[in-house]
Amino acid sequence: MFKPTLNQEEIKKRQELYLSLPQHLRQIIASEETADKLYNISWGKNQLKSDGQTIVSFTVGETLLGIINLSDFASILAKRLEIDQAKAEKIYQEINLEIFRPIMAYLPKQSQPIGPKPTPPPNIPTQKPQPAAENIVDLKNIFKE
Amino acid sequence: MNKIIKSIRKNFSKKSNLIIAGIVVFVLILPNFVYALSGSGIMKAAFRWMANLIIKFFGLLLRLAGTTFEAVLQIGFKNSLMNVAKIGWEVSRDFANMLFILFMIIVAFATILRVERYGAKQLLPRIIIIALLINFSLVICAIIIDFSNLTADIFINNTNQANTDAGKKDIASTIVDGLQIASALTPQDCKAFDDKIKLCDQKSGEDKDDCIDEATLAKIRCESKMQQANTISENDNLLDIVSSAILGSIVIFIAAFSLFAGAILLLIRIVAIWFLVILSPIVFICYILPGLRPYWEKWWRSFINWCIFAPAFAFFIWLAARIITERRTEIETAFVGGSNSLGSSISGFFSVPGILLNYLLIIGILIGGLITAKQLGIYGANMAIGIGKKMAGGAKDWAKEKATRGLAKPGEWVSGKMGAAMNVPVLGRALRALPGMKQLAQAPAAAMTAERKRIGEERKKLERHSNDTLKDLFPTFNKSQKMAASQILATRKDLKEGRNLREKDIIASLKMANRYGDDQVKEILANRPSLAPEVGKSIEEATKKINPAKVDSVQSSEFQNPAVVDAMLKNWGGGHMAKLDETNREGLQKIQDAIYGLGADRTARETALNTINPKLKIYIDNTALKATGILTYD
Repeated sequence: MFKPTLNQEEIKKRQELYLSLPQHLRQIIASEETADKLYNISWGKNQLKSDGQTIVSFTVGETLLGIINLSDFASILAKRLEIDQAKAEKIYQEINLEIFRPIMAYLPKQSQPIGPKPTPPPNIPTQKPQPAAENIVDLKNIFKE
Repeated sequence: MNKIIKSIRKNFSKKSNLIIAGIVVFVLILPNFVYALSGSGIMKAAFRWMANLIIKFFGLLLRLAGTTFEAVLQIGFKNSLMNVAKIGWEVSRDFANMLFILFMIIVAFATILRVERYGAKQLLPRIIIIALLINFSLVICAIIIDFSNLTADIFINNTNQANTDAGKKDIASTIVDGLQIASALTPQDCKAFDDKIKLCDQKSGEDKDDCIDEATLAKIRCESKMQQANTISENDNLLDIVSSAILGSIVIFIAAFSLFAGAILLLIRIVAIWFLVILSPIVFICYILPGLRPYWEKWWRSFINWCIFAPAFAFFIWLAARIITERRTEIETAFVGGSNSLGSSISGFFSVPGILLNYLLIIGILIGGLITAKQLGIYGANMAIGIGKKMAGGAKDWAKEKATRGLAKPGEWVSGKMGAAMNVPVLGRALRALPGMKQLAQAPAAAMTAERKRIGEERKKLERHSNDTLKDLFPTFNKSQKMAASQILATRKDLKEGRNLREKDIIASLKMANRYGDDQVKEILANRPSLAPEVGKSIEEATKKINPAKVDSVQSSEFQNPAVVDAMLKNWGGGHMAKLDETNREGLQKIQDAIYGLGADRTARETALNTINPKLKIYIDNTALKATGILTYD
């Protein structure tokens, strides 16, 4: 199983990277709330033991730092945890819902998912879908034709 | 002494006319009448015999007074006699300690019954002081007595040394010999000089000859005096004989009286001091209750009085002996040199003004010394009591503050418990029914509230100052202000040494704050958890009380203390770590170092952390922060 060990040079680089992040994002990375959410997902929903929990949180940390692309999260997690892709995908979805999605706007660019833009966070108000023009019946002119 | 003098004055005022009349009749009329009647030598011889008898009697009295005085002087200033007092003191002390318990009960009841006169607030400082003093009362007395005796001994030893140098015997002999009228008029045992000559024979060289010459001369003079005393001179008339007998008797009587009075007063002093020392523990207890306080003052007045008496009286004895030594030759010449008989020696005595003056001076010093010494003792005692009261006032304030603050927490506890007990349905009703119970439950809490209010007011006043100003002004603040300033600095996360604020000031403020409740201490300990042991708390307890929002209050220097970091590792959770990450990454690094210190490898560290702080382990397992290389086991 993957061992989340870092050498001094990596630590130094990551610390610099961490300090360059917005304050809000740094608070989310270090917060107890985030750790609790990850604990609920790792242990509560997926029965991952201590080592597994450490790998999940380490990978989430790397994603928030911008080291890992969000679209690669599930495959990297599957590899690190030595679990099948489906289970890793499931864990990703749960983490995405709880952690990534609410802060998508703050994530580093390299962490942003490639391809179509993800749905905006639920708290951001969206425009109401306009009905297609051909579906509108013009009652004023209906009899003119 | 005053009573004696008053009595003499009283009696003298009543009987003075009779006495004066009697003297006039006896001295002036009767002798002339007798002389006129007889004119014969037989009558003269009879009167001379009677006069000699009276003079001899008073002379012996003087000798006896001198011997007594000397004997009392020998024991008067010796500390070994204190052993007698010590035996009694031990019994008295034990009894006083028993009484102490009784007083505590009285105070307890008085407090419950709200009898203000016996209120705990007034009595506690005294009880604390006296509880200590009772057991040290002997030492306190012994120090004062020693001081008194040593001072007196300086004069006595000085006089004795001067006498030894001059070849004389002791102080009393010096004084008695100085009052040569006695030796001139009273028979002496001249055989004593034979012994002295024999002693001189044992010496060698020039000293031997000088010694023998001096002793022989003294023997001749003695025998001459004896002969004179027994010689009936044809020149003496009855008037001389009778007046000499009366005046001589008066003079010798006064001398004897002064020596007896001195001896008696010195004896009374010894016994009085014994009694006072024995009673000291009980008298010290009297200080506690206002009703008995006069006895305490009376005891001190009496004790200081007798202690001052000794050196004062010794001074006058020394003065008298010194005058006698200085004027010895003059006196001896007047009494011994030219007189051949009783009448002529008395006449010589009264006819030479300088000698009479000397004599009166010595007597005056002895009697006046007694009176003055007693007066000095009284003044000294009053002065000492006055100083003592002032000192006691200061000590009381000190003890009151200590007691109030020392009891603040227990008081609050009692108050809290009492309050809680009063809320219990049946017990509460019973307690509320007891007189004063409600007030007892509320009193300490009220005092605490008042003090907290004072600190709060000071805090409001000092809030406008900057941290630097507060630190600069710190030494000038009073206790409430210091507590307020410490709290302000703690709130501003700057409770650390600097400018005029020293570490010991911070500790002192913390100790003061501790007396007024946990909320006062909490703020300071949030800054400096390492100081927790100063107020009897553990560092762990202090760190446990720091909530995540207050993590930034902890001074950076605290993270250099392994005990503090260890306590944080044991008691802090994820919230604390997140806040540390935000405010003090160096501090967080110290926590990481402590995690490394938990074991040799990852597994050991994980296991150890799971044992000491499972909550923190869950956080570390699940925090994304580990991606930055911090808060990991590896």
